[in-house]
Amino acid sequence: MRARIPGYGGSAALLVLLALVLATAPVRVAAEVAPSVTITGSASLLRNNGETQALPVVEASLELDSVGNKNVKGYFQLDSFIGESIGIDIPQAYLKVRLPWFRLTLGRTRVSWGDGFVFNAGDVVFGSMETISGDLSGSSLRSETAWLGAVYVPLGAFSFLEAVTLPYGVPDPTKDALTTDLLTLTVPLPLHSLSGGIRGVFKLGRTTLETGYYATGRTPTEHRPYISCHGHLLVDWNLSAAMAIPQFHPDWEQWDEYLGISAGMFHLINLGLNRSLSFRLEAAVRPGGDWQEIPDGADYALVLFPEVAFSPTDTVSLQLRSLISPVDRSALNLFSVSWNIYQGLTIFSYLSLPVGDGNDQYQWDQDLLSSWTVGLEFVY
Amino acid sequence: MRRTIFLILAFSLAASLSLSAITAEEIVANVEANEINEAERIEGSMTISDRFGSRVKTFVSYAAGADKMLLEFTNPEERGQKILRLEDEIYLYFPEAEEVIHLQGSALKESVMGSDFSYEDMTGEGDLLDQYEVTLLGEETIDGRRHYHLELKARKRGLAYPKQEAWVDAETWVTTRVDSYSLSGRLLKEMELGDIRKVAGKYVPHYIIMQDAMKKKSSTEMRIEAIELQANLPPDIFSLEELTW
Repeated sequence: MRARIPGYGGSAALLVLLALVLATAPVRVAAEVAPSVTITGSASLLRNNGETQALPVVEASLELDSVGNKNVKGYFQLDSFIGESIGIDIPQAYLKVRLPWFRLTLGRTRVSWGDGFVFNAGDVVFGSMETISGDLSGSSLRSETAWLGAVYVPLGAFSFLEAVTLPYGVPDPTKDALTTDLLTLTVPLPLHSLSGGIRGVFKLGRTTLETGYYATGRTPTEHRPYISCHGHLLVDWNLSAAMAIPQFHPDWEQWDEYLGISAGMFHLINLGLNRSLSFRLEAAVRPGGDWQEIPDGADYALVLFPEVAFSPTDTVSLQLRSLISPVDRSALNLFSVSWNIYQGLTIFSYLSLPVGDGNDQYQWDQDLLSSWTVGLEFVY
Repeated sequence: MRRTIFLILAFSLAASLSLSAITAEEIVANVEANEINEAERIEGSMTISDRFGSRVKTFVSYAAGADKMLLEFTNPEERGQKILRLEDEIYLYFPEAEEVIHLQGSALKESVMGSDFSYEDMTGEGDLLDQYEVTLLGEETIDGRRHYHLELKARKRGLAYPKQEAWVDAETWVTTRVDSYSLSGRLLKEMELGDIRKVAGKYVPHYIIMQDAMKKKSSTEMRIEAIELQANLPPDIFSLEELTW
């Protein structure tokens, strides 16, 4: 599921149209456009304001991808959403250009630094250490994008350097309406407000080692060095550590508050007869966080993400996922089933159930967390 | 009568000499010389059929030698997803999340997009003679054509198939059928290749039907729509840079 940005208005329609034309026009002369559409319709029963409510939701996503040019690539994605609000969004609109020694990316997209499915301390650009407060059902739970410029320099087949700058930082999907997001692009920026960093990815035997540094130019202004590695030893594993050090007057006595660590493992077992069973366990550790339950505490030191997935056939998948806060003994659980019945068509259903009392991170009676959803997704 | 017996003996001896005139290793070397190309580009489709109907995936793939391969899906559902095989490592790329996944361990045996092909099937296993001990079991005639019947036993653990039987066309050096077995001798997969056409001096099967013996009412047909055997591939096409492009 992608971030939903409310606040669609007439001026946004013009901006969207302009962005669409700009994104596709240069491509048309040098490549072909490959369109694809994803339509998702679902109905949910959910607990809100102390009562059970029904909510139909329709989402549509139009993707225009350029094909046929080996050195220039354009991509445009327009999402719309009708549910508890009406929204429109451009989660991705970018151009990539390949030059002899490097590659340039400009536009709105994502860079994936570090490693981890839910928790990833190495993701110092977008931040993947915070818990997910709502929907746990997506195939990718971290999909934030931002307006950015990136330079990618390959160093052999498996190694590279990547420098990135995010002039406007990472948009907050709960606050920044599309109109606000696009209008910020028209305002010149002082140089010191730019965020940016560089990373290097190297291969050491069977282990991939990644290290980098990112500085935020907007509040909170921080230095964010990190190191991340992943490999395979009986199971797939990953380990990342990052610091988020204030750029002004850091308090080194409280260094542990700046440190974040994530670790994860994944293992898939082939059961024969085309059945498979997979296990995933990830942990986010903030040594300086709260190790004891406190009222209204939201910065607990340890959060876990276990997942068990069983595929009885190649087209059916059953999953049990949880976000567990061991400190206050609360959890958000999701049981989902999906069936890819025909080409492009998937039927899905999921049940989301929080476990926890009134002061916990996840509360059993928290609005919108308890829900049962049935839906269809069609890609063509 | 003596003359007849002499002729039969002579013919048998000639057949026996003919059978032993070529070794299993030479057959495999001829097969690899015909199948492996230094710069190959293929546009193709994969039709996965099961009891609910069929699903079609289209792709473009590039290969160089036995251990370098890049495949990109072009159908709307999976457009931009890529598989890279470089030496003995396999990487997947998911464009929506800009995410690279290094496939390791048992995940290599997982099915590709719900098909009867595993990631290892799709991307090849490298040099056959390095990995398998090959024995010539004999000659057979299939559809009127002379075939060599080979048995391949894995030299090391961890290969996708510990034992395989293959039938190789004696004129074109095309493998037209492969049966793959588990260590216990259980049939795992059956593969048939056909529609053999001559392309740039080599014989290329234009369809492959793979059936997973463990799956009921399921098969996958891979068909080559266009092929270049001397494609002009960029020198760094088999890299993480190309994978994430």
